[in-house]
Amino acid sequence: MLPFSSFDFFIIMAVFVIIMSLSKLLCKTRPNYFKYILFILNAIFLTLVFPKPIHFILFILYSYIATYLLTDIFKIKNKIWGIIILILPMLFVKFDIRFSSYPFILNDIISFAGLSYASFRIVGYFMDKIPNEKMADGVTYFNFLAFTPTILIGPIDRYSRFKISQEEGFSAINCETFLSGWIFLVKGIVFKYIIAELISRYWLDISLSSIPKIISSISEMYAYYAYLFFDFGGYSLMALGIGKMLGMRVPINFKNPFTSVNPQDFWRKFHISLGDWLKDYFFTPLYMFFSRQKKLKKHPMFRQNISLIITFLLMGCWNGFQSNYIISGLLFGIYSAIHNTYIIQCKKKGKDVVFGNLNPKIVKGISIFIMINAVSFSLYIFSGRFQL
Amino acid sequence: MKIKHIIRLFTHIAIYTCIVISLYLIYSPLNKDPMNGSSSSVQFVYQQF
Repeated sequence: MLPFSSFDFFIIMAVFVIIMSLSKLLCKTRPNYFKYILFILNAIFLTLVFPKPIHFILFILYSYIATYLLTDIFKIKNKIWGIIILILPMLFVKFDIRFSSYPFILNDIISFAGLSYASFRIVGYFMDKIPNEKMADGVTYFNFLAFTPTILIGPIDRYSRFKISQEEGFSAINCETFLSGWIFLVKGIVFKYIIAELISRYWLDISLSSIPKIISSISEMYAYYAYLFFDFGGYSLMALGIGKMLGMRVPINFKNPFTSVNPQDFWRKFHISLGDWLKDYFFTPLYMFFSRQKKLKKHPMFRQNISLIITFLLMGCWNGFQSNYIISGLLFGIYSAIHNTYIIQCKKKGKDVVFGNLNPKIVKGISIFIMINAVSFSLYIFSGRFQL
Repeated sequence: MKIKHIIRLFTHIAIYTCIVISLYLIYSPLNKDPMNGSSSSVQFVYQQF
């Protein structure tokens, strides 16, 4: 059973929350037991309920040993090779989707639910690990990758943040966090199981054969954006809520993206953990790389724009190598590059080069309107529903 | 303060009742769906993606 895929999952989580609360009472003098109890609960879910548990456990072992060898034994300086080794299983799976006509069974052997998110987390850990820094302890590393509420669809947590949260131990289990977690959980249930489901049934999936194709496509485009937000946002809220009830802080992943005024603002509100991950582990190193190139030294705007486009292209490829994902990622990259150029031009000329002296409230309204349409279009292509 | 608490309690009861009724109305018809081979209607919706 996958997390959040049936009512039974919530019953299991309720039992886990009760076990954690009772553990707090029983282990008052031993706060270190928190991580071991969390480990046992995560291991129970992974081995008894989650599909392909052996695959997941082997992947954890592989990433742990690979990180140890790369950082502590070989002490590699070029982290690119390390990243490729760590995401190798994910690359096999993604490439196999593209070449599905090949009689290739490697995909079945390697793939398991949550592989992409686990890969993102281990790359984050590998990139953040300072040479000669002690390796993460096995129990915390396992909890970090196999934490039940976030095992399938994130958010993409950071090891350092996860460790700090885990070290708070049983003190994070109290009435206040429980109630706060409960509110997030209920909000997530409303988002995912009511609003997203209603959008899916009565807006997204209805056939509008009686109206022109262009209008039905536009309607479907907006419906998909709304559906994706409430579905994915609902998942994230439920993960956050259950995480809080179990005594762990899970980062917020969505903050009303419909009010975004530019692409930068959008990625601060929509799938925040992915936006931050791409910025820290891909965009910044890539920009630094381009900055070191002599030919590009005099073209900072070009460096930024090309880094943005490549970063979002990577984001598209992460979902798979199908054209809809790649074009969608490319579009997000182009939006960001256009906005970046606009900002730089405004700074250079000391005025708003597009809106001039227009009332800021009107500018904000127009910006929100443009963003909703641009994002909806890109996500519509991402969905694979767009047909010319 | 007391009235405020009572209003809050009833508001919460109303909200949770609405949520439960909505969930029931959305998912209970799926249990009768001939295509539903799973034991759970939520799982049935999930499998369709």
